[in-house]
Amino acid sequence: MKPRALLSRAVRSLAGAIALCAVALHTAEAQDVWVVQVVGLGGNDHYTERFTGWADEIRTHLVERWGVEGERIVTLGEEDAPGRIDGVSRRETIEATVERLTRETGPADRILFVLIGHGSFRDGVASLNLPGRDLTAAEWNDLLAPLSDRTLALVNLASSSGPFVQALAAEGRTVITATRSGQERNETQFGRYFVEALGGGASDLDKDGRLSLFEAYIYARSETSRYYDEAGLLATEHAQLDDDGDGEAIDLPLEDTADGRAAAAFRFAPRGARTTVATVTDSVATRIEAEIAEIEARLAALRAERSTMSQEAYDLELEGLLVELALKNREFRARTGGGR
Amino acid sequence: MRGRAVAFALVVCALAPLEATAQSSDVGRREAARAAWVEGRWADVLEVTRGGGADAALLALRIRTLLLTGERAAAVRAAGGRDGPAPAPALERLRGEALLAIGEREHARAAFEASIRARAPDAAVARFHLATLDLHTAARPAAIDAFDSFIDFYNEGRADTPEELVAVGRALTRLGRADSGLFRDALRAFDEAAALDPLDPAPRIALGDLFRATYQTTDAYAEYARVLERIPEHPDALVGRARAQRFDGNPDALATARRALEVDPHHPAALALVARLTLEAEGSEEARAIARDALEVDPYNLEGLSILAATHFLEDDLAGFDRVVARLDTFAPRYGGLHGTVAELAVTHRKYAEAVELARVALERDPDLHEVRGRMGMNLMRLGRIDEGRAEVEAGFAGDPFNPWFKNTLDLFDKVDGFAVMESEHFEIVLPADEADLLGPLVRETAEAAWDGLVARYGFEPPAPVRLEIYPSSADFSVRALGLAGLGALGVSFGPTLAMDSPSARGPAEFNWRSVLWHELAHTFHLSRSDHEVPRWFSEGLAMREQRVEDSRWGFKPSIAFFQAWEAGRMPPLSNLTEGLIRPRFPDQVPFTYLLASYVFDWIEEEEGFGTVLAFLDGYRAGASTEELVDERLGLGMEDADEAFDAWLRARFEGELAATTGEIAPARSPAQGAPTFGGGRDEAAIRALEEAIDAAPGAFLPRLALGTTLLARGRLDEAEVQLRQALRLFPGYDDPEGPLWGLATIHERRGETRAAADALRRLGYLSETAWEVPLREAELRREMGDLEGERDALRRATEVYPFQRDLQLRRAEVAERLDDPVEWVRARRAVLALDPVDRAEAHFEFARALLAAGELDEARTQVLRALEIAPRYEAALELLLELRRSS
Repeated sequence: MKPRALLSRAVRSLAGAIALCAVALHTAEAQDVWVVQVVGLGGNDHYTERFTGWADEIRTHLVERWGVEGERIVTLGEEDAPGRIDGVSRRETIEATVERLTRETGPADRILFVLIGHGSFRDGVASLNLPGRDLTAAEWNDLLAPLSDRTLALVNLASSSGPFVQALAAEGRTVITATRSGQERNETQFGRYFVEALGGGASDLDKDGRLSLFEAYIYARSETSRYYDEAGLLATEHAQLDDDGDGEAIDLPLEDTADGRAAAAFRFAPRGARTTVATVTDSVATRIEAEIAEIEARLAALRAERSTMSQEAYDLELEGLLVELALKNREFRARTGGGR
Repeated sequence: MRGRAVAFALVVCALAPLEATAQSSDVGRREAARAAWVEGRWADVLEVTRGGGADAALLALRIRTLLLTGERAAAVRAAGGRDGPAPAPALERLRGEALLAIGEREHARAAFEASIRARAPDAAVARFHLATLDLHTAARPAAIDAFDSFIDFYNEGRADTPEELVAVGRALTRLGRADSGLFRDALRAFDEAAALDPLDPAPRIALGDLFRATYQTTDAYAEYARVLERIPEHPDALVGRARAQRFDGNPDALATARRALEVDPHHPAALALVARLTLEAEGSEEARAIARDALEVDPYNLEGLSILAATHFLEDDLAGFDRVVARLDTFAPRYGGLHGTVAELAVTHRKYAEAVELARVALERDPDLHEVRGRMGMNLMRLGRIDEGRAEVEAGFAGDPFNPWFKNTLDLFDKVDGFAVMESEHFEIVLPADEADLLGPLVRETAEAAWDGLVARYGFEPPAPVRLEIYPSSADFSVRALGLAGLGALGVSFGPTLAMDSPSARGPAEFNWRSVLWHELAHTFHLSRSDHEVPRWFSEGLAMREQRVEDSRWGFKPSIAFFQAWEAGRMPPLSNLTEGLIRPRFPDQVPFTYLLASYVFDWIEEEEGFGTVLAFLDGYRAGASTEELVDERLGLGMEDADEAFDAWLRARFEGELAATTGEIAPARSPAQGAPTFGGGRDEAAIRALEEAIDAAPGAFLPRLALGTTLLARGRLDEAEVQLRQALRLFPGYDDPEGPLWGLATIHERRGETRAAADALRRLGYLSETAWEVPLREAELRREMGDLEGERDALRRATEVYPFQRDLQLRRAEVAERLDDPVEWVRARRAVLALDPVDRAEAHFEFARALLAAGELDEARTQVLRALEIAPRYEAALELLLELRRSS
């Protein structure tokens, strides 16, 4: 019904971390991205349409906004959605898709799996409901083993998806689930907001024009929480993220956790944008970019000193640096004809 | 003292004969008398024990029965008369009790002493009574020692009758003030007494009293019920139940106490309780008369004296109050309960400062009155003296650890420690930290506007700052108001302190926080101007009138149920409006009474001007009664005033009354307001409604029902005719599904968007909680491209409930398009306060709005906050440069 204070503080504290990750890790954008969407059984027309619709939207966002090549997006779904899927989401098709990725990708590539549908949790085993035999969390882990040297991320938007974290955790592998346990069996809202996040805009929290999985997670998680608050409902889902491989997922990253870094590095740059410093051949632009980076480093240092300064002194110094940055930014755009 | 556990000794004993020499014929009579006694057949007991001779057991039963049935003088005679001696030493103690019941304290003392000297079997009970007589005198230490000796008495296995065990329990109950652990031992003693003689009412009543003293009324009711199931008219059990009901705020308390008086019309405790309940309903003179009745029976009755003192105090008759205290001092100079009781009653009359001073006197007389201390702390907190009050509540709770008010209050203020505090010219605003950014500016603005508006009307300024506390949970607000959860109200005014629900405490459309704030602040003006002498009905009615003066949407609106209750004579007249607030007879009577009382001020203002209302407040301050003021200011006796007001109101609502009452109106409970007449979709239902309309063309409900039914069938033109007629009959009907909603729906279906929006606007202006209505109107205005109309509708919706981010975003967008920087800044401030996940953008957009409003410094701050989060935010970087240029 009302905003949660905890979320407020946590999101605020994240702001700096997001910006720092952006500075430190933006080379990851150079890598090629593959996306596999697995849409499970809807059970009725409503859910089949809803789940397939999400996959459609994700594909549209990835292609049109983030420039992911269409042929590198594989969507598997129900037979009832001809023309919208590349194959039926049976276990055999999924296995074949992974084999293809094993052949066609290398260690420099990034692969994002998005699981959409209803999850189940029986006898301590979580799975995604598929046409034919379901795939359990452990089976997903086995399935992805041949791709273990790639940068992998798996986002499970289904109910009862929480146990996927423990089953799939690996260092540098981002695992995001809509629920924190198998017991959260109700229909989830997290998926719709994750799809919305991939549309960019408000989910680009650091306003660098790029979108990381971490930002998408934070956005979707926050909007899900708001949904329950405004509807006056008790939340029946609690999304979580793990990417440090310890299988201990987090709700929101705290200062002493390593979680969040790999997700922040898994980023999408807008179609047509320059992706890394390394691609800039203009030496002047390179110099400006370096100067910008130096200002950003000073900004980071200033933020670290904030608690020791008065608000007035801090703002004064902050403004000075930001004005420098703004001017450099203009210079860079004038030189390159676009943003960084 | 703690740790001195009462040794357990199982003693099996029936009501034993008090003399070993009983003859065999007496045995039969004893058995018959006891059988009648345990069943409450008092007449039979008296018949069987008539001429009891030397049989002490029979005489004892007779004396107890005479006492229970109010035959006190006969009881004294049966026990040996005022000067004694009793027919047997074993009866001296009962003689003392009978003498106590008629206020013969010194003779009672002599009887108790005689019992002890004679080493009567029940001499221990006599010792208990003697200690009780000394408890409120300079001999209190000795009395406490005597109570303490009952622990040894028990531990040595000497307490072996129910009466002795009850005495042990009561002594421990008193000692429990210094060591609350002894309450458990008291419970044990009473339990053992009850086990010894399961049919004796006294242990059960003692248990009930103990549970009541430790705030466990559910258990108390159970104990009283065990007596009343067998003896439905047992006066002491009825008084215990009535006291518990009073504690729980159950309006049946008065009826229960009166039932006790049917058995014993002069039962001092029942009379004192009735007097108290009467006084709580502001019936001071009646209460005084009843208290005097109690004191006529027992001039030393402490409760009766306390209520008598309170009646004087609450009428500002301090000389009368002092006379009662002087009377108390002749026999109980260290009794603090009188001042404690008057303090408690002063609170029911909203005299918090006086309550604090009274409590201080009570504590000087008896420092162990932990409840009085804690309540004093709560009153200090009501006066805004938070730290001082909190310390006293802490101290009270330490001595009275079962007290739920104190625990709740202390727990609440642990939470309040984390609240934000904002200051404005006349207010100190305390509100949840996570709502401060959103609500703080709105509350400050509304509070100051209310202050200015009320100062203009009342012509003076109450002491400032007023402390305004906003609670995000209704339960917390309730604890602040009463110490307990469950108060259904939305706000409370203690005068210098206001407390109320945050809009987040309830859902959208449940209440209008601005309206509530205005209402509560109006009370502060009334209390201040009248020096807290204003009667409750007057202040509630006038506060609601102030709501309407500020905004016609605010306050309760007359409903069908209101008119029906009024027409049926179920509403109190002007002269007795307090009754409708204190002892409502049906669930909606309280809000209906607020509304009815508010019309009194419409009437007075219309007839005499607002100056007369102010003169009433000044008159109350000077000690005048409502009756005197009505006579002086309106030139009417109370009955004439009742009639004049009734006639005025009848004329004002002549049309609505005719349309909503009478035979044609379907029967419904007063709580029901929405139409249920007809409503079926079939033709038979339509025909039935048409016939009803033919029979009574001026009736509102059949027309509304027919219009709604026709609308549901798509017969728009016919529906419109009926709904317009219904609207004409009852234009103020504010139900969201009333004629205006139907008309809006008809217009929408016809594509008449403007007409639909206008109907919704009109409906929205009827109700202070309208939420869905302005939202729907906003959508229609948007469709029409009526940006100004959309802005106004969104503003009305967000005023009622500001917590929906998407609405605030829409409001900001519309304001920007309208180039309305004031509205744009408000909406953007709200969006940011609602903690959006994209905070960089929220700061940036807020900065843009501030720039448009010319607030460059704040704009600069906001853009810095945006860039602090997102240093690469190009638009924000550009805005920063633009701001530097502008400044």
